[in-house]
Amino acid sequence: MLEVVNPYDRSVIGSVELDDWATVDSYLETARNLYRDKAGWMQPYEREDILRRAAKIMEERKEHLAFQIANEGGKPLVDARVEVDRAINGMELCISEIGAQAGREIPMGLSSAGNNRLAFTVREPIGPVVAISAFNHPLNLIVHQVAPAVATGCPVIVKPADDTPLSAIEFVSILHEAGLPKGWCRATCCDLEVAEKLVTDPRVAFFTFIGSAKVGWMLRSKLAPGTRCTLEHGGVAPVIIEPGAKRSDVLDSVTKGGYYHSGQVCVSVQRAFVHESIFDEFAEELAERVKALRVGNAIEEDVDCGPLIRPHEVDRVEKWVDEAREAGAKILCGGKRISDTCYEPTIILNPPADSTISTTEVFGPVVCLYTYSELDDAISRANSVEYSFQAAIFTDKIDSGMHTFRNINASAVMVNDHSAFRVDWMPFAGQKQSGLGVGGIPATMHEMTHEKMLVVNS
Amino acid sequence: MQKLKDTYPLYLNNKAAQPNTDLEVTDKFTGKVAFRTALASPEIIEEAIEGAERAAKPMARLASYEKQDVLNHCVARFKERFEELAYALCVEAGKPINDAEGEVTRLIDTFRIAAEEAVRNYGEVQPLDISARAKGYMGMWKRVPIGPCSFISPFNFPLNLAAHKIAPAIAMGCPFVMKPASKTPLGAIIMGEVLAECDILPEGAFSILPASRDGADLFTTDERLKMLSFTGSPGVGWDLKAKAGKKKVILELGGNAAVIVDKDADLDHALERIIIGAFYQSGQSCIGVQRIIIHEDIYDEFKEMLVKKTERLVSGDPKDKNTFIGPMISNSEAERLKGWIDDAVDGGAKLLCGGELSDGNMLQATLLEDVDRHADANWEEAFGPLANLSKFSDFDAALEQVNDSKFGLQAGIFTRDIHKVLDAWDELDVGGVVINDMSSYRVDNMPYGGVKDSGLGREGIRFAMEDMSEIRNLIIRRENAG
Repeated sequence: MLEVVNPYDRSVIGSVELDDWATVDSYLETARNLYRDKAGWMQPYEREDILRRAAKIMEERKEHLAFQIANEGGKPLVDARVEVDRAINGMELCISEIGAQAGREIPMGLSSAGNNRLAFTVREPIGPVVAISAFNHPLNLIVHQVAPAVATGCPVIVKPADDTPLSAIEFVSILHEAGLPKGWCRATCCDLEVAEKLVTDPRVAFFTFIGSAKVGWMLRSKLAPGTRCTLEHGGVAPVIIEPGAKRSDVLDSVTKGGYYHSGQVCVSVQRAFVHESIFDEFAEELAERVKALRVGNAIEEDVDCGPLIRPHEVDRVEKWVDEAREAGAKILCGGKRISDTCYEPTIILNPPADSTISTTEVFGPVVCLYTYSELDDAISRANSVEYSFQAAIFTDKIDSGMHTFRNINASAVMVNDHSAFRVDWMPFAGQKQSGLGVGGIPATMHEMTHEKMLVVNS
Repeated sequence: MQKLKDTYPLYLNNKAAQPNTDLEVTDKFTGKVAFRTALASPEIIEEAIEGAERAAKPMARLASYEKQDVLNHCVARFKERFEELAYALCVEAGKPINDAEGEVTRLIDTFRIAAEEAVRNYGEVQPLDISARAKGYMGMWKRVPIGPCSFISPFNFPLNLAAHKIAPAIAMGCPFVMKPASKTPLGAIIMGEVLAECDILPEGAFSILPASRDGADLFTTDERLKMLSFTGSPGVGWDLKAKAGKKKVILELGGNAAVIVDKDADLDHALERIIIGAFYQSGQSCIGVQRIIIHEDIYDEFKEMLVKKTERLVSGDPKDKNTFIGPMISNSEAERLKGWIDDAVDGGAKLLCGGELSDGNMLQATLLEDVDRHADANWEEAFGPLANLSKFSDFDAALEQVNDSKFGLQAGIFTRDIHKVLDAWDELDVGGVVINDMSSYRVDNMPYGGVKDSGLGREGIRFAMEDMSEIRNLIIRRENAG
């Protein structure tokens, strides 16, 4: 039995049965058999109808879903509501994208070897999908991993994070309510041993993982031959702030991008490189805003930052900040725990480049500010880590924007927005240690299908 | 039983207006006046074009999701008003109720597809540094709305063929003025009523204006309209193109579509589909089967099957669920086709069944054989319940027979031989080849349109959206390239 708690006051809010291997094995077997029975595949319009009905149910339960996200995930209500809207939008994107799942003609006349041949392709569902998800967006990440599978016609088994299973379980039951036969989508909570057996089983055609780099790469190394995968980890996202950028916009954006959901976002602003000519002033102004952030129980209105997901994470963030302080960095604001579950929103000035806080994903409410004088220097320091995900530059110069776009290690560069900017249809991909493959609804649907070619000799 | 109102407005710059009730619309079966609508004067059309011009910028600025919301609203409202819409078609077009319901279903599909396409109007990034002189340059292009559009839609699908213009225009962000067919304006008027519920559309976004042909020149000639999309008869279409000036012109016209029935075809299936293709809504479909080209080995057998089935088609009141053949759109159209049939027979053709005209516009489903290739019944678009049988011995010659036409919209081939399938796809001079179904098979997301006299351009949402837009390129030079 898994107890689910509110991470702020650790009060028990629910419990979930753990599945043993026999149950999970039966889910997998059903998934495989459904996929093998081509005559029984759902038609695109049937999948579309199911997703549409599910989106409608989500719309009707919006406030409840938002509260549940806040309650189990510690994400402030205001952000939880945005998450539900995005999740519904994700469903709509899947629906739209079904009609765009098209094959193509392969031109055959390029040499005489292709004479009289006609070739074209169709896209077919790849097969059973297993999804392992993360706690930080308990509903929307599930939508990103599960809805594309339903949309493309893949059976799917999803294991939500142990901390936040309620939203995922409810989402899967909404799909069932909307008419998806149960075998096509299952949620399972299980211990690590069973989870690993699930992920590495040869019946799995596609594995989608959202979570820490360490676990992701480890699991990938154990996948059965033939299993495809995408991994979405985190990073230590860099943001460059040039003197010409409009100050109030930058302050708004960095405050949101650094501290929203207490920094527990894989593309949160963690390292801000601020031009020396504005550094002191900018730091003071940012500190004013950060000090004003209200920390509290996420289920209450008017809370900006909730708790960290587990007390252990508070210990870890505390340790990393203390390490930077001991190494000579100045703590401009915050810098200590509020309770066993909450850490103060914190700004650190110029921590050493090799300190943990500068090189490793903190996944907490901490932003580091570094001074720079030359743009190229800021870019090369931004590039010095093993992660590469989203990055940002605030500037009024198109050349700085384009130069950074070209030279910074990132899969996406925001100009005049924070690194955590995301809409659900854009490609979302970690590089280097930050991940493998491409997320975002259309890209995920692409990954969950394979191209099958027909060549006719006539 | 559904009821229609006595009078309907026109829609001028998003709003209902009732300047008059000058257009009488009859119930095509009873011949009695069913309702009256406003008729737009040239002054009103001028106002609408001014409105469309005003709306061009704000329309172009609408976000994709806003356009999607409008289209989704239409889908929801059409579902709610399903029976009313079907009934309206049944009355104003004389379309049998089963076919009318089929058209409303397709109307909903068309808007649903447009709602989806509205959010995937993608452009492309191009590396421009293909040579040293372009080092450090990059290009990207996007699609921008072409501007105010002019739409003229026909009587045979008062809803769905208007929808094939309206829905992509909204998805792309183009304001438009539409002239629905004067015999069947109600489908488009009800669409106007639903669009008028969408406050997000800027004033001037749409006008739906029944107008007499004489007073409607501005739809074709006005230079403020950047694109003319016309669906209707070939004669009118090409004539409009000649008067359209600098605007882009899309023509969806008709043809004398052919199907080939090869000797290995599943004849029961071919029979069922060809009868529908030739005679559903009395053959008044631009891809209706007009020429049936049958392999000599099965000619007599299949002819007998066709005649037997055609003779049994139930004709009568389109409001009756059992009716397959309803009235033609007007007495004059029915008389025209009756004249062609008689001329063909005088010229040596053999009448296999049908050929009788009663009650002014009730023409029987008619089959002819041995028709002279240049007889009007064969060479021109029949647009009525007529199909001509001919035979072939060699498949290549059958393909030539299909191509022996000034038209080229779609063709149907019933065969099980994959080589013949691919030969047909290569050789037939048409916009679409349908294998093992009738020439009039259509799903609303396919590229649809003709070659030769059958038209210009393609519809099918995405393809229409391309025509309703221009590519706008952005080229960026980086100062410190490299």
